[in-house]
Amino acid sequence: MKRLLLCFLVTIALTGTSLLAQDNHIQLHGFGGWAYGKTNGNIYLSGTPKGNYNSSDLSLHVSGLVGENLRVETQVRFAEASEADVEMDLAYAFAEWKLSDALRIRFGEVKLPFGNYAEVAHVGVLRPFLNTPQGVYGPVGLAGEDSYKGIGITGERVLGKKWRVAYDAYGGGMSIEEFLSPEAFVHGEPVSNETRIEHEQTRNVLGGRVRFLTPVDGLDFGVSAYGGTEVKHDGDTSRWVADLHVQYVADPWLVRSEYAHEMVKNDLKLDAAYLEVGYQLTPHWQVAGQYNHLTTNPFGLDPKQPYPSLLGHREAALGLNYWLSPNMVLKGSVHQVNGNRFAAPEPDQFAEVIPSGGLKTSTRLVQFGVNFSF
Amino acid sequence: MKKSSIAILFVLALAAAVQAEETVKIIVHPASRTTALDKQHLSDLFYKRVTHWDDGSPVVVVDQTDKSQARAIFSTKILGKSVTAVKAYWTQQIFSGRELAPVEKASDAEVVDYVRQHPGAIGYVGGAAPADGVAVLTVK
Repeated sequence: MKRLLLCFLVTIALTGTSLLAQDNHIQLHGFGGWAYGKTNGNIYLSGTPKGNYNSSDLSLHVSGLVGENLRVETQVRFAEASEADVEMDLAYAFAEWKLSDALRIRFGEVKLPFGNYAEVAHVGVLRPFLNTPQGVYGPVGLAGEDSYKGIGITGERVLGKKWRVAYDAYGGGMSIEEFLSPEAFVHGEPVSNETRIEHEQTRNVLGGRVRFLTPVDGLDFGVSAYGGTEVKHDGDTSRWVADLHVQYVADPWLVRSEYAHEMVKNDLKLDAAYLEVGYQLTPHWQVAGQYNHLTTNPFGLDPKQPYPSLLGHREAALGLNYWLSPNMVLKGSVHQVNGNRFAAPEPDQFAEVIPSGGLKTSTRLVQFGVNFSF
Repeated sequence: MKKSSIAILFVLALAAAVQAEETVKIIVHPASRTTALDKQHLSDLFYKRVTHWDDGSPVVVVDQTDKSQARAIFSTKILGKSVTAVKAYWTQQIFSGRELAPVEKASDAEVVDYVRQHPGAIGYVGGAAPADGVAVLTVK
């Protein structure tokens, strides 16, 4: 049944049709993808050593216009990471009241306005690779693919004669996924498949993003930041994150770059960055390149601890894409990763593989897949 | 002499028709008080950055499907972007929960019909398309 639904949605995507009802007051859209990945040893993104066909996802988005000023948005995501494991996640659900063209107020669970990608992290047709740059957007607790739950304001206005500024401010709580196993292992904590993902809770969050849209068509840059109290089992602590971002998106170029920094008091510091470039050779063929890295510096850790690769990630990737339409793209990529912050064995194998010297600090991943939207 | 004059007139008419097909007409509801807009203002309306007319009434934007030649002309000549780039903009807006895309119609006739029936509506049709029952804006 799931495969039939996927085929139906792909058909709609190829026709570039969105499903409408009742004169545009309700819109149904969606996006999704599938990827096959194979690595030369560790598990990373869709790739496993034996090859993985099971990485697929679908998101359904419903927008409702209730009168002139009220809009309700919701998005649900279904993701399949293994044959027996389908996850469902509420990406966001919020109501927005428009006070003016320059100011709207939002209540509910809202996609995090952070950097270039956080709001559209799963929308593959908006980026040149199957996945977002993992150094900044991977499961490390920076921003990932998550939301804030609370209240926010958003808007955009003209600045001077040719500039525009887009702004967001919000407060509430956040829960961001973190792949916990590598950091837990270096701290000498038990590691298992059951505890591999932690939902890092941050309370009393205040945050925002300011983005400047320049007179150069397609060029914008900005800064994002948030801070709050991280809930930890051994005592809450303050946490803040800041990010600088720039992008240039004008045919045939797509260039994006970010730098992010996190500080968790008495716990860790983290730095991450990426540069991503896509170039449209023809209306259908696109080549792409990406470099991203992440370094984690936990407090109180012996600098001579024997597994430094567990705290770092450096990745270079090349991609070749074929755009059937703006709503559907076939993607292939090769990734070379140094470090095990993300590319690692199954957590259940950590205790066996790592102390025996069997940890591969270098991973090569080959991926092929499709992204679509409707 | 007569035949050459007819031939010249025919060629001129053909050239005019071809040129009309490479342009678009911006149309609004017949009750609209707006008679002219510049490209920047048109962009702001079609990107939904401005959502009200000067009299405070709401703007209702109608687009055409991405296979439409009129849309290709409108996107490049008024919005200054390819249809692909504009679609990517709306994909970003929709899936970040920021805005609904304008309603899309499949033909010039459907756009004219929609604009005629919806006060505050603005759309575009091919340069040679009939625009009965709607007002045509001047692009400054």
